[in-house]
Amino acid sequence: MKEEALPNWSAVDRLLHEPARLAIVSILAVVEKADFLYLQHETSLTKGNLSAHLSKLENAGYIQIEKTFKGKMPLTLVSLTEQGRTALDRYLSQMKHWLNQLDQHSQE
Amino acid sequence: MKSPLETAQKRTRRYWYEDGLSEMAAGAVILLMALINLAIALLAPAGWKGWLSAVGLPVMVIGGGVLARLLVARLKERLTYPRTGYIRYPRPKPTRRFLSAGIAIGVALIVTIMSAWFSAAQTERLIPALTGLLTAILILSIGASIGLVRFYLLAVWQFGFGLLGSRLNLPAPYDLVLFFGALGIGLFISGGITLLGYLRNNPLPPANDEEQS
Repeated sequence: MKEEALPNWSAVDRLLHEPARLAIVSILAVVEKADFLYLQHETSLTKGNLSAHLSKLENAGYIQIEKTFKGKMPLTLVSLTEQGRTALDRYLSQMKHWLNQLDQHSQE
Repeated sequence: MKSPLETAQKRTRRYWYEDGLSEMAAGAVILLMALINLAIALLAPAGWKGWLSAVGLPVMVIGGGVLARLLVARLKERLTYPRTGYIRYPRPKPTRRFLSAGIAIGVALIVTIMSAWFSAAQTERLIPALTGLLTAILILSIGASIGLVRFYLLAVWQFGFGLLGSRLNLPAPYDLVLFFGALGIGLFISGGITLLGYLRNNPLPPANDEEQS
C-alpha cells in the first residue's frame, strides 16, 4: 500500500456521522415534511432520543421544526433546510470518495 | 448489499402504498370503468351507446377518480397517520410531470399503432395479450422503482388476463370489460390484503400518547 497523507478526518460532519441523525436527515431528504410519529416509527428511536437528535439538528440549522395542532392533538412537523441538504450531500460525497479510495488501495 | 440509507429512503418513497388504500381506490375506479362499459353494452339503447362511451364514460371515470382521491385522503387521516405518522411529498417538478405525461402518451400511441397493425394483419386477437404485456411492464416498472414486490405479482396477474383475453377472443366491448375488470379486481384485492396486514401490524397508539419534541 502506498504511503499517503491521512484524510482530513476533522472535515467529517460529526453531527451527521451519528447513525440515527443520518437516518433522520436521509428520510427528510425525500419528503417535504414528516411528522414526529413517522420519524419515530421509521428510526425505531424512543421519543426522548428522537427529541434530543432533532434538537441537535435544529440547533445546527439542518432542520426546521414546526409545532402545530391537528384538532386537539399536538403535531410536530419536521423538514430539511437547504443548509441541511447541502450538509448531507457533502457528507455523502466525502464518504463515497474515501470508501472508493480505500477500495482502490485494497485492490492494489 | 443495500445501504440502510437507501432502504430508508425507498421505504419513505413507497409510504403512500404502505396501507393499500390508494391501490384499492385505483382498483375501484378501474372496476367502475369495466362495469360502466358492460352496462353500456347490455343496457343502453342502440342510439345512445356511442355517445355514452365517448362522453358519459370519461365523465363518470374522472368523477370517480376525484371522489376516490378525496376518500383516500380522508381514510389516511383516520387510519394511517395516527398509526405510523404523516409525511408530505414534494410537488413533482414540471419536467417530471412532462416525463410522466410523455410516457403515458407514448404507451397509448404504441397500443394504438400495434392495434391498427394487428387489425390490418388480421391478428386482432393478439391485442389483449399485447395490452396486458404493456400494462404489466408499466406495473413492474412502478414496483421496481419503489421496491414493492406485490406489484410484480400484479404484473403477472395482468399479463395472464391479457393472454386469457387473446385466447377467448371476446368481441368488443367484452374484451375491455375483461381487461379492466381483471386489473380493477387485482388492484382491489392486493390493496385489501395490504390494508389488513397494515392494520394488524400497526395498532393505534394509546390516546394519551402525546408527542415530545
